[in-house]
Amino acid sequence: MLRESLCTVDLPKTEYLFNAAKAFESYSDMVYRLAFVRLCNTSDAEDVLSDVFLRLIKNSKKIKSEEHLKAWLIRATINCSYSVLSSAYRRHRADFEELSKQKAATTEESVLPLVLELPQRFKTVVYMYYYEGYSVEDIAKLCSLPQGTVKSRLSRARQQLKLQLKGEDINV
Amino acid sequence: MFKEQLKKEIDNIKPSKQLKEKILADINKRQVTEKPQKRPVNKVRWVYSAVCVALALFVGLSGMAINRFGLFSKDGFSNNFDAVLEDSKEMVFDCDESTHDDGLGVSQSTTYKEIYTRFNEIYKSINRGNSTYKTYGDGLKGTASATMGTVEDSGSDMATQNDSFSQTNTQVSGVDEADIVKTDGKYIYVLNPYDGTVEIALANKGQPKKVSKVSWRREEWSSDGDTYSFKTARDMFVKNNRLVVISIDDVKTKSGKNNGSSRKIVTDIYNIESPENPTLIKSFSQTGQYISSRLIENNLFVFTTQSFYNKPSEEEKQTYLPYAGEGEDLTPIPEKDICAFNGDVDPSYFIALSVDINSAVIKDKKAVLGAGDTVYVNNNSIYAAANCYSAWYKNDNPSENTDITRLLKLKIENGVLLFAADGKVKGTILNQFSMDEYNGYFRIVTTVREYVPVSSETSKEKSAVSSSNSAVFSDDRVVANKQTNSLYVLNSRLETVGKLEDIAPDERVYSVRFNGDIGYFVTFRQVDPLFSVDLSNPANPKILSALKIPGFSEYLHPFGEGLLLGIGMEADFETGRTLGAKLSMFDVSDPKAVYEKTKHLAPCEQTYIGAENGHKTVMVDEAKNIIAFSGVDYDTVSTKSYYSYYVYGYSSGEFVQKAVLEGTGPDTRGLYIGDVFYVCSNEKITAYNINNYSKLGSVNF
Repeated sequence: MLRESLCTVDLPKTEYLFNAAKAFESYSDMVYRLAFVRLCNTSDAEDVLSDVFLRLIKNSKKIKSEEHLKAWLIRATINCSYSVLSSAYRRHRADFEELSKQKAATTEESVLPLVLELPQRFKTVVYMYYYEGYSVEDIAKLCSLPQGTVKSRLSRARQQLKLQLKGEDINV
Repeated sequence: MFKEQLKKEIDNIKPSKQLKEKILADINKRQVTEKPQKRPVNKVRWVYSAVCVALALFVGLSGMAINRFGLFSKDGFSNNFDAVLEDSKEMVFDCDESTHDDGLGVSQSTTYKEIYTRFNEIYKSINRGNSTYKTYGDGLKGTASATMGTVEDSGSDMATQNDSFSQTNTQVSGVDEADIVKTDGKYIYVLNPYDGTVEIALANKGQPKKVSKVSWRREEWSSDGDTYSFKTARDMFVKNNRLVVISIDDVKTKSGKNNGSSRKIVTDIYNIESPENPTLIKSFSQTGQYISSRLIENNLFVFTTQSFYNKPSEEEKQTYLPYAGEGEDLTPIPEKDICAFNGDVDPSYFIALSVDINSAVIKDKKAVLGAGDTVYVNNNSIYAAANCYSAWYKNDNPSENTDITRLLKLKIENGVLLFAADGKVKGTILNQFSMDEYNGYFRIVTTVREYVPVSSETSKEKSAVSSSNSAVFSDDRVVANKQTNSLYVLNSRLETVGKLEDIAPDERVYSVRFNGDIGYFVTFRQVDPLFSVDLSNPANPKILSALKIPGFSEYLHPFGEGLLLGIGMEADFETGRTLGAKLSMFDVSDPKAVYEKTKHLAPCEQTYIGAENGHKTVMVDEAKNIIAFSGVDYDTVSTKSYYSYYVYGYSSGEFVQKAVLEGTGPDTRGLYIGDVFYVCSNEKITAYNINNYSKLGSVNF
């Protein structure tokens, strides 16, 4: 499950000087957010954040460019959250605590709880498309999925959200 | 609606500062106990990176209370960022007379003892973990060096060549930048960074021939098995029968001596009067990480940056001082040549070494504590810019909580460097092209992010419903809620005299180019506005036009009279999705009405222009009508990459594809000598007829 080979993008090796400080400064929030959206749980997201950056330090020689770094981090976050999801503890326990917390803390027009309640495979594409602003093609590359799959997941996610949002148009 | 709402809500999800601190401490701990591995070069970088993380974090979060540090400043500092920004232009060095103003109270020299005391203070404040620090300090303190080097006569003239030839694409004419491929019109020099070799080939009018090879790769263990050293190449210059190679020399110790690793940048100067037999004249070294280098006539400047993170010890100068010198003989940089930024700085130096390549003597060395890692150099000055990210700092005045760029100016006089001025502007810069000097005014384009801490009432409300240790709604979170772009004009003392702010909200700068009184820059989110700015009145820069077209240019190059060439990516107008490489020719003859005269989609998915030093992969020659760059195309099925070197011309208002030549990797360069076009990489040189691009010959390395 833990694939880190996603980023086959070839970029100049000598020109990019990896700087973990900058990487952490720029992307810790992104990693944490993606993990949170996928796991709906602050403590799990925290674990993933720490995990991902330790992996990054170990694999820093592989990072070839800023784009590659970001892609690598997204991929690693997805992989790391898989291992949390598949852990025995998680499989045998239903955790709605965080979700209800989220709900309590939000107002009428909040949409995040709705997104968090989407099936796992929809959440990630919604996050990447609407929040990170990636194109369908980019998401397909990042998640090693066919473009059609990404498109259909997006559209099904939109349908579900539309029902919840009582018909409000979410096409952007 | 949905998108904005989602964005707003996800923006609020942030890890807590405590967590970030913990993770980084953990990373730091791990890397210390890690054993050396097979590939030490990467290992060292790894260690360094982790250290950087730790430093950034500690320095940032704990906040160093060094702004009150008496040795370097008599004046107290205001805690109000705004006041500092406005009032703190204490000029220590006068750039015109190179003498310092005694009236400001910094007449005494910096001494090693002062530097040591300051480092100790930094170290202590890091370990105390206090966070009393509130403001960015300012003001460069130290003494101006008045040592003038002797002017060396440059004896040897370069062998006259009949054929014209191309050179590395540089930012400023007359200021050469190092690269991996160089030519002197007769020979082609190709650097292989990984193998640590320079291949010298005779161009031979299209029939390239290997002549000789300079090799200095070293990879060895010391006799006691404790020390491992490894030397690889980075950059190269060729001029006046001199070959200058800048390489990285890493030493790692198992026992953890010298912090476990040390890195120095070695500059080797070879005599290539007879390229068949290059001989080493001298080597120079300086500690730190390589930033960049420049060559102006015979004066070579090598810039590095060095960080310190361990407890300094007064007796052991290597724990807090940068070193430089000839050969293996490194000495601390003299006290009089070190100065320091006041206030909140990282414990890292900007180190500049100046060498005359003809006589192979050191002309000057300077170090500045807290200066930057991006340099802009023209014939008279060196500007070093440091991006200081503010998200790490807690500031009481949220409206001023932005990133800043700290600037340092060194004046060049016959290869000798003089501290000239310091200053700062809001925002962070993209690369060396973000800076420029013209008619005594310094211009800089930055992207400004504003961080706004969420008001305490809202966070209290929210923390009431979330658990106390929740990272989602931590009290002290800082949100980057606004991103704009700015242009500043500064005078020779680096005081802001003119500015344009709040340009293109939510976009960031992709490329900048200044051309005399006009500045151009490109910002991007979905469509590409090309801004032209009139800078003829430094106090009042004006936006003349903003051209919105799909895609963005990552590199801008003035091309002939009234034209501006842009190389970048085409993007979908609706979605902003990138569609492949694009060439644009802008008509800028009327800066008030800039328009895209023509564009061409190149058959490649990606160019290397956006990468660091990407401008060196481009070759633009108006006389020969050549626009060439290296690019890559992906086969999505086999996931293979195809490297090519694309050659274009521009005639009668259209781009004309002249050839797509075989490339061998991202580090491919093109050059011409006379009527022969050469595509060079560290694997091979291939020669083509410049008129019809038929293959003439090639040589493999």
